[in-house]
Parts: sequence; C-alpha cells; structure tokens
Amino acid sequence: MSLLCPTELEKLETAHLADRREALTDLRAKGPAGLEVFLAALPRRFGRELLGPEVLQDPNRIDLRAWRRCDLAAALLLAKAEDALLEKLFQQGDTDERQMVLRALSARMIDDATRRILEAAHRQNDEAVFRAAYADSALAAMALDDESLDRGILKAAFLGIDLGRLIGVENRARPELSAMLLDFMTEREAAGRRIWPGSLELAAHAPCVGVRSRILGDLWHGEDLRRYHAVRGARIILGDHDDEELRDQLRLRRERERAPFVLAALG
Amino acid sequence: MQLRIFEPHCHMFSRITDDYVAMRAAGVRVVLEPAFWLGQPRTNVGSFIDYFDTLIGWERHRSEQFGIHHVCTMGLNPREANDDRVNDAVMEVLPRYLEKGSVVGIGEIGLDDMTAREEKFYEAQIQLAIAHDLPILVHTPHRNKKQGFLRCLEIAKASGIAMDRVLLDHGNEETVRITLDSGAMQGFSIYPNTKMSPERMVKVLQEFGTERMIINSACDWGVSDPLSVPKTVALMRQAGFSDEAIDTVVWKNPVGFFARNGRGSEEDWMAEPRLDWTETFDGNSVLRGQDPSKMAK
Ligand SMILES: [Zn+2]
Repeated sequence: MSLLCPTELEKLETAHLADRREALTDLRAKGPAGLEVFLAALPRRFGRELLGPEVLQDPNRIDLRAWRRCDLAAALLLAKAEDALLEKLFQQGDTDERQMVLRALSARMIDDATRRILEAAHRQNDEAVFRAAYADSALAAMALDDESLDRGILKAAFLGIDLGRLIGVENRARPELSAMLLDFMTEREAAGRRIWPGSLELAAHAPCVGVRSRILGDLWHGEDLRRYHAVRGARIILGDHDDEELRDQLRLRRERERAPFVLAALG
Repeated sequence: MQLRIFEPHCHMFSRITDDYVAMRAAGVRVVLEPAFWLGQPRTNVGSFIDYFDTLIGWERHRSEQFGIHHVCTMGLNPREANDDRVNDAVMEVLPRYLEKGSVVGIGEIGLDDMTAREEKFYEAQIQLAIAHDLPILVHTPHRNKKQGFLRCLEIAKASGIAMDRVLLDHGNEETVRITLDSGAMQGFSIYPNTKMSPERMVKVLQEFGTERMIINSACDWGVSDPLSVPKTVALMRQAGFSDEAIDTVVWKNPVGFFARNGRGSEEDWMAEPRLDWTETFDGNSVLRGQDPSKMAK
C-alpha cells in the first residue's frame, strides 16, 4: 500500500499545480534519464512555497502542510518510477532533491527501497533531509524494522523534532525504546543539556522502569513543554490502568497550571 | 551603505573555518566556488563525482553555518581536460550537476597549456552552458597570458554564447581593454605578492572604470588571501571611490552576472542563510562536540 492514493494525488495536482501542467508533461516526456538531470530544477520550475495550511492532514497518516510545491511535483513524477531510479536520485541529489525524493516515497508502494532510502536519509544529518524522511508522515513507522526505527527516533530526539510530527511512532513503542529514551535523558542531564521533551510521552506507551517516576517528577518541571508531555504521558498510563497517585498529581497540577496548552492537555 | 561582497572565485574546499569567520566579518555574503583541479591529477571519474558532491553538499553546508551563501560552478578544468583517464567520463556526469540549485555556471573552463584537447573540451562545455542557459567562468593561462586570453575569447565568440554570459578571469592590465571591447565580463584575481596586487587593481579600476569589472581572491591551498577583495575595497575607499562604485564592483556586477533564471537572486543572497549551529551534515558537525547552545551566534 501507499500513504497517498492515486485519486488523492490527482486531486492535489488539480488543486495546486493546475498552472504547471505543461511543465509536468514536459518532464514526464523526458523519462527517467531526464529526471537525473532535471529533478534538481523542480524547485525553480514549481516553487519552494508550501502547499498551505488548508491541505490534507491526517494525524495518523500524513501531514501535507510540510510539503512544498516542488515536493508535490516530484511525488507526481515519481509515483510510478522504478525503485532503482529513486535510489539513484536520492544518492545523487542535493539537499532539495533528497527532500523531494523522500516526500515522493509517500506516493509509492512501501517496499524494500522505501526502507533503504529512509535508512540512507538517516545517515545524513542535514536536518531538512532527516525531517523529510521521518517527520510529517507515517512512512518511517510503517516501513522500518524496530532497530532502524529506534535509531530514527533517537536521532529525532537529538535534533529536537516535535514528537507530534513523528506520525505513528506511538504504535511502535516498546519498553526497549523507552529504556533508550530514558538513558538519553540521563545522558543529556549529566552533560547539562536540554532533554527531548517528547521522551516521556512516547515512553508512556510502553513504560520501562523509571518512566512512571520520571513522569511524576516532570509534572512539576519548570519547562512548559516538559510538563505538557508529562501530562500526556500520565494520561496514557491512566488509559491503560488506574493509578491513584498519578490521578492525584494530575488534579494538583491542574489547580496550579498557568500555561494554556498544558491546561488543555490536562482536560 | 553597508559593504556587501559577492566573492566570485574562491576554493573554500581548501580553507579553514577561520577563513569563513573572517570573510563574513569583512562583509562577504556569498562565495562562489568554481570546480577546479586539486593540486595533483585525479586518476578516475569517481574522484570528480565526490568533489562535485562536496561542492553542492558539505562545503555549502559548512559555509552556510558561518552566515555565507555558497554557490558553485561545475566543469572539467583545462589541466585535467588533457588527461584521458578522466576527461570523457567527467563530461558524461557533468549534465546532471548543471540543474542543481546552487550551481550558477560552468567553470573553471578554458585554456591552460593551449592544447588541442583543452580547446575541444572548452568548446564542448560552452555548448553545455548554452543548453542549460548558464554563464561560463573562463580560466585563462597564467603563462603566455595575452595569447591565451585572445584564444579563449576567440573560441567563446565562435561558439555562439552571448558575450555577456562570459567571464574571462585572471585578467591584468594587458587584457582589460580586449575584454571590455568584446562585451565579456573581466575578472581579476588578486594575490598577496605576485600577479595582480590590491594596489595594481585599484589603478586598473581608476583607469578603466567599474563597468563589467569583477574582482576575486581565487584563494586556494596556495599562497593566496581570502580577504583580498575586502582589502582591495579598503584601498578603493582611500583612493576616493564612492560606496556606489565599490558596490558595483563587489556586488552588483557579480550578482547581475550569476543570478539568472531563479538560480539565486539579490533578495535570496541578502537574506541570512540557514544560520543554525545545531545543524550537522552527514554526521559531521563542524562544532566537533561543542555545545551549540553555548556558541555565540
Ligand atoms: Zn581558481
């Protein structure tokens, strides 16, 4: 299966690239060899502007607000391309091309090539490329095995990407991953560096030793985002089984909380 | 008026991060890195591919982290045009670099020893430039300058490329009139001791004016100075050149020449590049483990 179906792609083309139909036809006619040269020209020919705030966003699948016009053009051109071409385009690409290839993966059947390209994107630390691979789409959560996905999540944590943008990772939570996230927290704290605020919320989906205590502590943390994710983490645990102390602490926190988005999470 | 410099010829590949810091502090906002040779012959096309990828990848990323936009020109340089182990193969991979976002021209191409092979690959690359609507940055010989310069010009004229898309580099007092008459841009590489010095450069500008004149440091791993453009600007000031005249030479002329068809623009290049110390590339942070939050921005 693919994250975006052909009908959705057609609709997107009509809605966003109707003024560039000729350019698309011209590029389609150039064939695979043409794309090796002209994929790089897509940002100039279609624009780097985002598709806009009104575009398709499905919290369990994909968020196209992260897409640029050139990403959509690439997705349309590459939806049916051979795997080998896609891998080549990624390898040979500059930062814009790599982002476009990664976004185009959502318009294709998820297969081994998807995994190989995502893993290649992981080895880059160009943040824009990494985001295009791991954020705003459930692709990584669907395509990667545990080991690769864990590595990707840890890197997202290192780069400080919002947990909310890592679509579908909560379905892949495992106690082993939670333990790694907690270790990473400890490591950062020991170095006097900021920890990734999403750590405890994600770990709450598959708690390991220490998660519950850490959440109790973070409910009283000075950083709004830390409290926000601790609240969400606590509610995830409570959704699984009752926990009187957690319930109590949430109530006490609600009485004192001032940040509107944390209050909203407290419900 | 704030000094803004488009440095149109520097081989940053061979420079250290201190150079980027000093260049930015001296007003450099954009560096153009022409593909050239690496001091010794490459033995296979793979070495070129890795070098070209560095120019559009790591080096661009490195530059942006110091607040300087990085663009480049791609090409088979005249020295290695003579080397049959690589010349044809480089020509084969070249087209796929010519549409990349940060590639703004073909260069350095031209003549060095003035061999038949050099002429053949120079001509072929001018045709590529026409096909991809790119300007050319022409390396002219350091020995037998005038004759080589004339030959570079002659070949460009015969090729059909518009002369306002030709930059003849490494010029001197002897070549400037010839270039200006041809309609091409004239580049001068300013070196600390030999060749064109900042003092000589100011005299040339006083005599010939600022129109179609471009100055650069051509800094690389040899004796060269990445600050020779700002140093020349200081001398121009002392000699009474206006801010506008200075801006014409170190900004408007190169920007006007290279920024075409969406490949960069004055607006893009006046904006800050991605200045984010937490960015790393291919696993290699230039910060080498220092805490980004503690680095002064
Ligand atoms: Zn050079």
